[in-house]
Amino acid sequence: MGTTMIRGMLWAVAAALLATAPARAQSPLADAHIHYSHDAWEMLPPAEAIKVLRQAGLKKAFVSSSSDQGTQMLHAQAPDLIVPVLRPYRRRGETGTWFRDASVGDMVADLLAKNTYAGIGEFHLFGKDAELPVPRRIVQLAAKYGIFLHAHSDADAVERIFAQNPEARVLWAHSGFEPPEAVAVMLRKYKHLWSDLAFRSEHASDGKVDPAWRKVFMEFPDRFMLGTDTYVPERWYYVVEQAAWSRRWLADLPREVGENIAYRNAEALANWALKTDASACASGQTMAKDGYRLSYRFEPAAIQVGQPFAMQIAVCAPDDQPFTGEVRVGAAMPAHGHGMNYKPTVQQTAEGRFHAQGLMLHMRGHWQFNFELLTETGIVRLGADHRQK
Amino acid sequence: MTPAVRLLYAALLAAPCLLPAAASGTGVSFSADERAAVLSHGPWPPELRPDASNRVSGEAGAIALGKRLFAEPRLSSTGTIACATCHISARAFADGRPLGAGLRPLVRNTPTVWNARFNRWYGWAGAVDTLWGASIRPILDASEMAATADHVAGLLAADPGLAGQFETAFGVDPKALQSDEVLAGVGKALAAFQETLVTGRTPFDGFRDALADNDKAAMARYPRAALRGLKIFVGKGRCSLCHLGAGFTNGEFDDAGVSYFTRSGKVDQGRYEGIRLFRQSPYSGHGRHSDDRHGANANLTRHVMSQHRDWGAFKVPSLRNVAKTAPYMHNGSLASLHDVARHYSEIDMERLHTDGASILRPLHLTALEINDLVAFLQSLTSGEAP
Repeated sequence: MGTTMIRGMLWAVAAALLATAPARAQSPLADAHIHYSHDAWEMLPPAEAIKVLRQAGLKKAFVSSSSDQGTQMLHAQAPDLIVPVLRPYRRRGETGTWFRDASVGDMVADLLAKNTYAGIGEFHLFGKDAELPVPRRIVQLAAKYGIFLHAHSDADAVERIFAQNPEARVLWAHSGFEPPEAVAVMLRKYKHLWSDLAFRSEHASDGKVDPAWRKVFMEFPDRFMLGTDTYVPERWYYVVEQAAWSRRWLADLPREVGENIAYRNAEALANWALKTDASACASGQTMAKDGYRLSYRFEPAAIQVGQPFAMQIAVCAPDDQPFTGEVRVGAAMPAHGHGMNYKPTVQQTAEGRFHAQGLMLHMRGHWQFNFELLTETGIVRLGADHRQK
Repeated sequence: MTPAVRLLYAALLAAPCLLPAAASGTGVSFSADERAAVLSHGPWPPELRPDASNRVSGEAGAIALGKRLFAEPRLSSTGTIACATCHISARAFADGRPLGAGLRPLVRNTPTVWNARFNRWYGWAGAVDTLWGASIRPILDASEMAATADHVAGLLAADPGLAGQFETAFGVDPKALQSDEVLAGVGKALAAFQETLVTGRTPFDGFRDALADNDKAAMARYPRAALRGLKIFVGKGRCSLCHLGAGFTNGEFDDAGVSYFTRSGKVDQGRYEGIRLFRQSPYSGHGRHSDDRHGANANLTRHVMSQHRDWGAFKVPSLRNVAKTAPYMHNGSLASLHDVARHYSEIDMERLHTDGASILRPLHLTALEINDLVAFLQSLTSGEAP
């Protein structure tokens, strides 16, 4: 079957799914286990992939891809929706070799320096392999950036990760495919362990939660999250179905527990990793005025003259209250009397967190970044000098 | 190599001024900032990446088809004008005339397509942000080739040789496609060919790399006049503010103080019109014919902002091989590089908005300094066949 024909069929399936999906408001979900690897983006372009995620009613999607380019493309499309997670794979077929590949550590370190991620993973790691130098460096890098590890691992490897760094935060992919009692043992032992339910079906049937799993969900209402695992492109066309299936069994739990598993637990982990709390306003380039604090970071970290870049912006209201307004950003060369030739777009990614795209400095020299905070009481203007080399 | 270029090379390589320069007491020295600026103009050639918006970028079948189409006059409505009619290989892929001429006289100078693959925007006004879209634009322009998508699709349908090459390149019989899809394919093949037109290394590149390596002997081979001109270029001339990087352009648009009347009562809107046309173009990077609507370039260009100062602003051209592409400016109004240097040296500030960009200012260069600046610009000439 030719690529064109497969692409045509997949488009038809996507169109059918989108056409049949309910139009009414859906209860929000977060999917902690999405991959968008090269074969997926060849079949389903980023804009269409985002449509699928939104059609599923997701408010957050943790995306990791082989290579990372897929994640970046989706994040550029929908920074409010996509939670970027860095997979230590360049392409498919590295699940069993990456932990012995000395170049992986540098690749991950370079990308962490360049882009913003909430975690490293999903990676495959079992038993004693967790002691090898490459996984050790990954654990260290996660600690350095304050982000989680998404581990497709057995309990042994998870324990070895926590032995290396007891403060690590681990999202246990597929809950290790362990039975609920064994998952509960691990969750009791490690307070910074979360479990995703991707590619598991046994916890619910016909909209009813299995009694043994219910017991674990009730004991650890803050530690589970959903996942589809789009490990092949075709499974992108299952995301909507999976969401509908999840909504049915989540409704069988007490409302608060169901909503936690549906999206709050994933959102909280993403917010911790992406520093959406007040500490975000104190990292990177920072400034303050009238009690408002703003910090920003470039993507990539070192911007090049004549090359497009983006900006992560965090804003905190006075007394570390949440900032609920909007942000505008621009740049100008005071000595030349001109600004940029492009008008950046700013999207809110979380409370007080923004992502600006469409920036480009077309000359070397002294620039000034200008930020406008649109608050309930007026506009607060902040400026930051920047020397472009 | 043309006789003129051979002569230039002979002058550069054999003249008595080829003595040790910066490091050897010629009086030319660079500050740390100037040295960094010089180094920023290389290395050359840069990394050649395929164009993600063009799925046949870099593919041999498409390059062969594009090369053939580039010289194909039947692409025009009258069968008389090919791309190569104006982009003449023996004239550095320009035409040597002040103003281009298609089926009708044009109002802008014909830009070279050398190094076109490195552009963000195409043409003096940047009406397109893809090389393949820029290749389609003149085919459809009523003053240039005045063809239609149906005309182009009909040509391929009627010519088994071209149709076969198209099918080889794209894996589909052009007769099975809509006319606009065939036209997009033709543009992409033309782009694949033009991507191969990358200029070679120049005397400046040799100097720049020698400076990076601190190779004094190699540095000394760079002509002293060009060295003095380079210092003006990165120093008080501030030329490298806009003509930056390995390609000697920031790829953007500005007012160079040149008239943009095309005739009495008629102006060339320049970038202002370019942005308007870009937003209407179905052949842009984010248009439906693009193979990567969300790539880095398309993501930036969709943020482009129309500003009052775009009225009469024109592209900052690359300076590589600039000595081969006279006459100069968007309207070909300056015949020689000396004229260009004098234009900027004595720029008429009355032509520039007082509240506009204050980048240009009269330099009042001496005749010797102008000669030096021109010598530097000539050292950006590569040695390959034109």
